Amino acid sequence: MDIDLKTEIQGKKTFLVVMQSRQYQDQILNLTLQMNSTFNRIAYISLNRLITPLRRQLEENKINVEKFFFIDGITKTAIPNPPSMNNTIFVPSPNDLTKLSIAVTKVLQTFDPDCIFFDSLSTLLIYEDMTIISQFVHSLINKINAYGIRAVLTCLEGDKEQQLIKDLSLILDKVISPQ
Amino acid sequence: MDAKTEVGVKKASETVLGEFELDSLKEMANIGTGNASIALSSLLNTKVKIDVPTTEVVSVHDVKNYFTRTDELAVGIYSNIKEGMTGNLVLLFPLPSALVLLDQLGRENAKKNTLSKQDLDILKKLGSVLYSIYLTSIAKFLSLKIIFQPPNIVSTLESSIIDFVLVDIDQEEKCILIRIGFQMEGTGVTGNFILLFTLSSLTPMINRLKQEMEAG
Repeated sequence: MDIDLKTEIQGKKTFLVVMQSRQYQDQILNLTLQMNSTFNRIAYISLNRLITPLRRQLEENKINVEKFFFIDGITKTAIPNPPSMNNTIFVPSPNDLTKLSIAVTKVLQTFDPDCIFFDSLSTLLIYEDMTIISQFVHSLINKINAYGIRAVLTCLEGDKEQQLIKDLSLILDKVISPQ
Repeated sequence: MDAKTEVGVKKASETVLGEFELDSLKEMANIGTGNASIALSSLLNTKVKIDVPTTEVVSVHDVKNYFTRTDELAVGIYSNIKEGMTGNLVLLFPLPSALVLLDQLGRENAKKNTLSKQDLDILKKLGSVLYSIYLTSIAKFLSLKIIFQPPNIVSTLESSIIDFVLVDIDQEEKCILIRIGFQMEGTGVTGNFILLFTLSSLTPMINRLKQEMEAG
């Protein structure tokens, strides 16, 4: 499934992209490349990749990392005191939803992004029940809507995700599922 | 032996590892996994079947492509071997297998499909016990004292777990990846024991292996 982000964002602001696990990394990179060419300032919430290999991969693919502000929810689980980096906030763990929410607010206020990219809701579902994740995403989307910016959320296609996808389809502008 | 392994062996023989060295490393991994699987089997009262080891020699930069074949959610329990030899050990479970395993270990909230902090601690302890058995048998095989760091745990996409293992390793290095899959009968639980050594760290261990093999 190739997503044409420029076409998808016409008249719509918030999206959930549901991905098949065997294509996940390729699709995430593809989306990031398109965001790099579509937006000027992107807030990238990463709950799956350590910050150093993530930045390295983006740079290797000629993505301008200076356009990104990273909210990293996983590096601290492996490296408790990561070296500070430009445009990066470290959250202690992917399931620390309060600190994640505070970090998002801070980035919205200070970095002024025109798009938020969230990788991924499936990681949140490892640790928390669907109800809690759904409440968190509702609050996140309300916040994003208040700032009038775009949001691209991702999740894997799976049994656990089905109910969440159904629930979030009520508040998001579009759910893009694999063919 | 699959195609990937054959490529690995060929590459290895072109660098520093010949067939003898690779077979010895596989045998060493087999002994460790065999003992660890016996312990797992007794702990859970279930038969554990182990696969034939596969080896791949790749650059650290490319190891991600060989580490995993899917992007399913998974749990990785990983540790550095810090004395006696230098390398990394990873115990990798698909997330559904980790949840079944926790239920088998009698966790609270059985059948819940999320991981609590307590669940992660239980898996970390399991990893620690299995690593200890794994490395004790390797230490005995090589007549070495081997010490490993307390394991860490991460649950994320399987392809991202390797980044956690490689955090302190130079991207320009070449490494050998030895993987042994296992299945726990009647439970649907599958997992992988993965050993990873950089080629530069292998020479002392290979010398030791040669001595041990020659001695009989």
